[in-house]
Amino acid sequence: MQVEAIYNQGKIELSQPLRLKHNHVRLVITVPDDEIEVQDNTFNLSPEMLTSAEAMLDKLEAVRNAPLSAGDELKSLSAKQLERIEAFELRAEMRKEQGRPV
Amino acid sequence: MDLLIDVNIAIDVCARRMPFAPVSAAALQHCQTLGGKLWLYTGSVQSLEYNLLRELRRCQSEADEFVSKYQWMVRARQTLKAFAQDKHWLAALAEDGDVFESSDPEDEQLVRALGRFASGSIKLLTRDEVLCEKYPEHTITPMQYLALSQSNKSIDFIDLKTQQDSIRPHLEKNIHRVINHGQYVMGPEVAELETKLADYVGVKHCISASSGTDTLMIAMMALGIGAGDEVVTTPFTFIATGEMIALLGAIPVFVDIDPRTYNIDPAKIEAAITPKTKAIMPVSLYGQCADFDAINAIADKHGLPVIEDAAQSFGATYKGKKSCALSTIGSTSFFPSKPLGAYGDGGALFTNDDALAKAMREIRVHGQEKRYYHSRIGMNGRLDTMQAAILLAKLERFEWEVEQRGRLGAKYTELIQKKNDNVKIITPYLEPYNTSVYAQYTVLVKNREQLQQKLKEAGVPTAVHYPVPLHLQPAFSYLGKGKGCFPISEALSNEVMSLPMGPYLSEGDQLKVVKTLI
Repeated sequence: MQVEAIYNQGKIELSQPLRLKHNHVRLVITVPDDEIEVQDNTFNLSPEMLTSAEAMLDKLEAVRNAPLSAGDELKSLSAKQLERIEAFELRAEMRKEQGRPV
Repeated sequence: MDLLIDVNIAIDVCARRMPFAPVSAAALQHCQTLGGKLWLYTGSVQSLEYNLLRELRRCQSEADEFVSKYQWMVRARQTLKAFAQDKHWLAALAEDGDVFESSDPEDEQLVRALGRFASGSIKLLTRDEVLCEKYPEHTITPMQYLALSQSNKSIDFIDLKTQQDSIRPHLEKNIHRVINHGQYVMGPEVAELETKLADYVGVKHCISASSGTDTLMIAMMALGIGAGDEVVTTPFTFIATGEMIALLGAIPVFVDIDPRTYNIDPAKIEAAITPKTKAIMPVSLYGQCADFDAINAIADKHGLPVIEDAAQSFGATYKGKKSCALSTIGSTSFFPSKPLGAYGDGGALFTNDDALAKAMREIRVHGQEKRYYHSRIGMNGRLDTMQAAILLAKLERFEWEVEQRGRLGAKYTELIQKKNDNVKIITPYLEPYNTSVYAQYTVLVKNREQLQQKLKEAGVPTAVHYPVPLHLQPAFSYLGKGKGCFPISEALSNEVMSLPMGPYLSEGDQLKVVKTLI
């Protein structure tokens, strides 16, 4: 669906109250050209570069979404693996607090 | 420049994390396009696995609601396996362990690992600004990398780095095995290598040694060659061939070469044989065997042994038989740039003669028959266990590399002949019964210095093998063989020029060499 959004001091706010299922969702917004004062060229890739990068991403996405074997549905993670998941959650939180990517 | 991929970049690409994924992926692509290598740190495997698992779960869609944690783990691992397929693994070494005093042990590990490379040859590709601020000389962001201008990378004369990268896991395993078992001299790898090399060449005995120079010395000592004896050989070779003869007090008797193959001319050998002649030592130059049927026939007639100096021809064949299996003794070198090269000096001797094999084994260990019992005068000429371990790793790919060498040599000839209408450049002649390993791809040119300069300016290295024939070297002036004694060797020494060659020479680089040359 399309909703109106307001840009306010660096933050995007939806004008219509919506409760989303997940805390982190990718949205696409339209920015009027005449509002752009300086365009950071950060993500301005050439079409060739973008095509080849997208091909790499598509290939990995296909692997990621490949059907899992039937046996995998029944298996579960070990206690050690679950502990590691917790540990890496903690690591991610700490890095987020430091303003660093995970 | 190579790139070590930080975990955040790998996750961007593996999980298609937006908006970063396209730029991160583009930087990786850009690196490969420029001929750089992409590295993953083995110490980061767990971070990669669990952070990707976390990212995949965080971004799960409605359809993924019933996917279990285990299944996410499987997906993460499958994705990482695919991602790592065209990357190189950088080992976590012991020095990367003691990092707990660092403000960020994980970062410290990566920076220490980078410290093992030449300055500026590799950087950590990361989006972590904190890391970039702390280690500006070691880090680069995807956007900074994409903004780098395309450098005009020069071609390696012999690309040993790509070979190393392709066998790195095996190489590192073998090296660590030697470090751990501690048998640095005559360790188990030496015997294993000798067995494999003897099988490869198709002879009964292989005796490894400390260099391809020492092997010549050991071979001649085993044959009892000494002061005043004469050994017939070629003047168009590396100094070691004649030098070892002279070092034993014997006299190198030079015979000029065949102008097409650059190897000793069998038709001229017989005239050089005297009652003092004790051996014939042909050199299989540039990777092509000399004419052994003709040489052996002359040797048989005069009851002489033949030592093949196969320093450059290991892997080549003569009438279907391998170099080093063509005469009384075959001698090769494992100098790093040779077709089968170690990471230091090394060599090997080959023979089917049991008595000679025993003699050569003893001579390489001070003439020792059993521990501290010396049956003859020998030398310290053993191959280090570490070099044997390295050669074992390299031997796994050797057959493939020999094929590549043959293919690239033939391609060079085709490309040069196609573009070279005026026949200014003469390509190597290969006898129809020979295969060459092209230890050197050497052409004949009239204006060598100008061409070398032109190629150098275009980032194409060249070499001259060899600019002065042995009889004109000051070291051999005492032989009294001046200019004009061996005219073919003298003429060719003014014209030979070797081009970049090796099994990992890319098609693009080969084309660049030929385009610049002609």
